[in-house]
Amino acid sequence: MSRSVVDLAKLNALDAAIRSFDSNTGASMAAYSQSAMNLLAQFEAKLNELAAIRQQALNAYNSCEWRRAANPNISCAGQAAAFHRANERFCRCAELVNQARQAISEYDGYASQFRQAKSDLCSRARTGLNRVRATIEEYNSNATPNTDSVMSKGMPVASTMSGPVENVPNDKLPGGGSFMFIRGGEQIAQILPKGSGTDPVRIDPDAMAKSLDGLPEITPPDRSTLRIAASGIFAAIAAGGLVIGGRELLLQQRADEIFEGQYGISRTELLLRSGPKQKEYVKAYNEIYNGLKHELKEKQKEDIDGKLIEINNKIQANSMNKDLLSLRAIERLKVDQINLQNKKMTLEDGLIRPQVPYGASYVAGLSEKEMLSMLDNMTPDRFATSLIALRQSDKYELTQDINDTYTFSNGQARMDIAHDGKRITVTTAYFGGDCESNISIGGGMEVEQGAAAEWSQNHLEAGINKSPISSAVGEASKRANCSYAWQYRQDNYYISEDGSVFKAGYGVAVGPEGYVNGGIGVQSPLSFSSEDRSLHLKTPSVNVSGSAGIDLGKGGGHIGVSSIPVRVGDTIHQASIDVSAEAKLGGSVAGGVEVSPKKGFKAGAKASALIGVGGQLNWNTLSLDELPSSVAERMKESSKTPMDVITESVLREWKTLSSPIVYGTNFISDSVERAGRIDLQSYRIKQ
Amino acid sequence: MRQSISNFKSQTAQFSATADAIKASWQDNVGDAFYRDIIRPLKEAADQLEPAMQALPPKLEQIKTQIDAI
Repeated sequence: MSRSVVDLAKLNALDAAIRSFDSNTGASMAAYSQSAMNLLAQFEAKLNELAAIRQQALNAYNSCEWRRAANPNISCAGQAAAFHRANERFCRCAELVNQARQAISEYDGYASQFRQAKSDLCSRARTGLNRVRATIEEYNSNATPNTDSVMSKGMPVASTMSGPVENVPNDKLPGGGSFMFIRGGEQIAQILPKGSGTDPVRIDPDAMAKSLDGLPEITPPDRSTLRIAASGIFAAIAAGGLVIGGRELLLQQRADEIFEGQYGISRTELLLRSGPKQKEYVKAYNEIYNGLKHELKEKQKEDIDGKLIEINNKIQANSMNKDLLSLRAIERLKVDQINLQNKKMTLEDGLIRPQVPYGASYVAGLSEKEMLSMLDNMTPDRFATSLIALRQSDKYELTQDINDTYTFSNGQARMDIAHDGKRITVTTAYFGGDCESNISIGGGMEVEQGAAAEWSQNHLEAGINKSPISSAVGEASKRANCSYAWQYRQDNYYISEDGSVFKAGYGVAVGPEGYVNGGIGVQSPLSFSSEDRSLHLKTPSVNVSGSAGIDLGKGGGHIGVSSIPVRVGDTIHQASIDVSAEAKLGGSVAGGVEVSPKKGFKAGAKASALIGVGGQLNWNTLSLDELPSSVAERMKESSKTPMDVITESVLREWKTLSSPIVYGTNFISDSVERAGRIDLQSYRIKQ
Repeated sequence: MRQSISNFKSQTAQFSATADAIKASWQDNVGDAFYRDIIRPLKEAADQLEPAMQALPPKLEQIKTQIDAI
């Protein structure tokens, strides 16, 4: 976008080039046509000559026949033969002359098309150039900015600043928020739209473009040229989701581009400094804008999948859609991401609207079908292509860092997929919750010092501890709870030469309640057996994780073992056993002061330490029906590529993220933890 | 005729070069618009005409040879 008046010298140079082309090609074509007609004239001259010869032969024959009528002994065969020869020559020549005429006529058709096109285009060029010149002249004649312009009377104006802007009336936007540009974790620009709460978000591309001054342009992007510095994952998590775009924004931007192309000056600048022609410019702009809007309305009927395919094909043809504001901004700014500070936004009717969050980890704005359709038919190259295509849509924000990582996020979760041919790294970060419904059956030992009585509504205990050593058996409990956490994990898939896929990863979860859990997982190579068409682990996997609690000073260790996933019918089953040891140190003040006329005064305090050993057995299933049909079909095929295995693994990861409920069955409850609990209580009884 | 074709090609090429040079130094919406709406269509129209110009002379020459032999 231009940020200054167009260069008149360039206009004049273009004008001269077009005029010269018009004139010179006209002369060349005229000479060409004349040469063709000269040749045709030669042919016709020959034809006329042959016509005359034929006529002479005919006359000679007729004369002979006339004499023969008086004297039958006269022969006219010679004259007849001469006439036939002359006639043949004439007819042959006539046919060739006709061919020449047809060939010239065919050429004339093309020439006529060219002349017409040239005439139209040159006329449009003159009109456009004159319009731009006139606009510039008028612009230059108004030296003082027009404060009464329509731009200051309520049309959207955006301001760009280098840092955060305070007092942003977030409630003025649908769902509030502003556009913030972040690079390297640092905010470098912010776009603050103005408008009522019911208006769509509007951005003035010129104002935004001013903020891009001095930043280098990059060549039209393809996979290898998009380079964006990596940002902090936790910053992304903290900032929430990323939703950018909006058809309304694109309309305005496109209309501005067309307007500027026609008038030579950006709309913003023109209206700020225009004089008597201001209304004309506004009218012209509105016509352009409304025309685009009408076009868009027709296009909005297209299927989302079809659009993704169309965009994907454009990417394949190395023809990027430059109209997308986010893409241009990312390219120009080399930012990490564009945050819309309202986390969950969806695109409806071309407007960005907030979505009331619901569900613990339900992914706003993303349907499983759309996600699976992206991961479907995946190859390493299609990873990037499809992710770029998804990025090109106005539903998701995709960025790319220097390691060829593709990131997509949708408001609640973010997944980065990086590949270099040997290793694929999938990094997942999201804020969400898991709800669990557990049935626990177990037993254990409790050791207590002192006297204690405990009863809880959550547990049905077979016994009440009164003695130093007691046991609780046959405990059953049922509980449901949901916990929320920011979670980050990274899984690396290494592709070995024999096609096996080896997975190693680690993860960290930070809970708002103040706990931190981390883990490291190592999984043996995955491979696909063509014999029984199951996924196999070559050796059992080992997961090692550790956890630490902040609020309760809880520490512990965890070791897990996963079984070989097996396929039974259309379901994949995998079991895992996790054994954990936990030590909890803490103190609590319990009890109180009891005053009794008989017993006197009683006060108590309680300190406790807990050492527990627990474990759980998990049984996870994944139904093939829940996989996209193409993936399920591939599982039935005899051959499978490592990418297929990874695709399914990634699918499961994402599926887990997007599923609001995580089911697990714990056969050994945390009551076992209490088997090692030691409660220390002291009482002082004053008699 | 062949000279005319040569001239036409040369003029088209010159126009292309000039327009591309202008475009290269004109990185804004005005340049984009003119290039997209005027220059490129002109080049394409000229490119479409050139094959027809090339095809005609051989045809006419062949016809001439045949006519001369009659």
